[in-house]
Amino acid sequence: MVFRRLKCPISKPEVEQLRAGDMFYLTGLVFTARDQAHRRILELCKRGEPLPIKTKGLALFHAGPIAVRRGSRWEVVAIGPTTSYRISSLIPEVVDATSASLVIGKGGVSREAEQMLSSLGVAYCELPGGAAAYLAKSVEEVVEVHWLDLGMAEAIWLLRVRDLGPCIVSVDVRGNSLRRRVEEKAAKALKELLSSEV
Amino acid sequence: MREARQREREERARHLLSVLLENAEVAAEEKRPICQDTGIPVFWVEVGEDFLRKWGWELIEQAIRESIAEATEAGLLRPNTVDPLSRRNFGNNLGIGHPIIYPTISRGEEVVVKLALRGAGCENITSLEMPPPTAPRQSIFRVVLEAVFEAGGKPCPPVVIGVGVGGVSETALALAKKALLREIGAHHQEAEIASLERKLLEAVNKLGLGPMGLGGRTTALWVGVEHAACHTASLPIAVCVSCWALRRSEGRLLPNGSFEVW
Repeated sequence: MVFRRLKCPISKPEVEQLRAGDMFYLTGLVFTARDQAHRRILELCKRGEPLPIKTKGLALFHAGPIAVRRGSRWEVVAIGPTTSYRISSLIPEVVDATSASLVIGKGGVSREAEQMLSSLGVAYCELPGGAAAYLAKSVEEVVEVHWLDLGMAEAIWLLRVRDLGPCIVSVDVRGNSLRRRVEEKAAKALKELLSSEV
Repeated sequence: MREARQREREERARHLLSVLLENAEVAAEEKRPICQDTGIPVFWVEVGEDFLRKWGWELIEQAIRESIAEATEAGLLRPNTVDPLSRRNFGNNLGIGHPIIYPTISRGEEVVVKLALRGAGCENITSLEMPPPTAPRQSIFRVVLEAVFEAGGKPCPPVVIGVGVGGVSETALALAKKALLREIGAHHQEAEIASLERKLLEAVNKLGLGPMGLGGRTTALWVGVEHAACHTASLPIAVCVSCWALRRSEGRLLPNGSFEVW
């Protein structure tokens, strides 16, 4: 199987070419944000204050690393996606506030968030959950870290990555959702299973 | 997981399982955490009454507390514990009510320690139902299948499923979690429960959620069921799930003071 290799920052036309179910590997800059960072991004935005990093065209990565400080540098020991679903209601606003081009997480987002992301021209992608040792190898450098007062996992980490993946396109900009396709089939199977004798 | 990869027909599911297997190898070789969510450590300690008399409980609790703080400092555990309201991080995986230890007292002076690391993706989808007890098997199937279906990709399938049936509400939850400590491949010794485990696994894998819930034949790797007697008018059913990265360990404190992990 041949995988696409994409660079980040990534342009809108490139994101538009992605289709639900595609797999690719990503090289360039990504920034992490989880629940608490989503809240703070929106608070700053409301007050009209700037974010500590430039995020335009980057991938918003739902992740919290384990990092250790070696001298003046941080080294990522383990990193992997966290469940995006928890923060479904905040993601579209944060994407709008940060002008991110891709969202990378795991576990899917609510149907409403899927639709809003598609209309913002942003694809939602998923990484294999828990593959933290493997994924950490694709982190080349911690470029910046902010908001460590939120805790290591909840801070914003700007990372330079090489071949981060496999990223699986879960929702594309046309609103096609791989996860919905799977869930619709599963719902049918569930109905059949529950109506049969055990 | 290797067997599961062979069974998968879809390229995506196979590739995901390959990455997870490679991740396990990298983690072992480089002594890195297998998943960045190193969870909340949960301990089950069976302590001999002679040990307790001689050394007291505080010694065990202190050792566990110190080992958690040390492992966090070394980058082996992510600092996960926070205050439930202010969400302030304790920085060392301790805090109010931690470490979480379930003690039981046994004869003699042996101390057996079992540990599970409970990630939030799995812990968050724990379910407990108290359905009418009229159709027990039907209810167990429904509760388990619905829990797995609702969870979708959130607990990082393929999952291992622990089911607790009976007792009072928290007994069922405790049994479900303890079922995750059982060796994969070791069915319950009672034939009826073992058959239930087989049927549940088969049914769950018919859902087609697959690795990461993105489609495939492998939604669960294993189902364990533990049970206890319950009130004639109730049927507590709890489901507790672990991601594919089922992190657990078991060890024994030897009389010479050394600790043997198996």
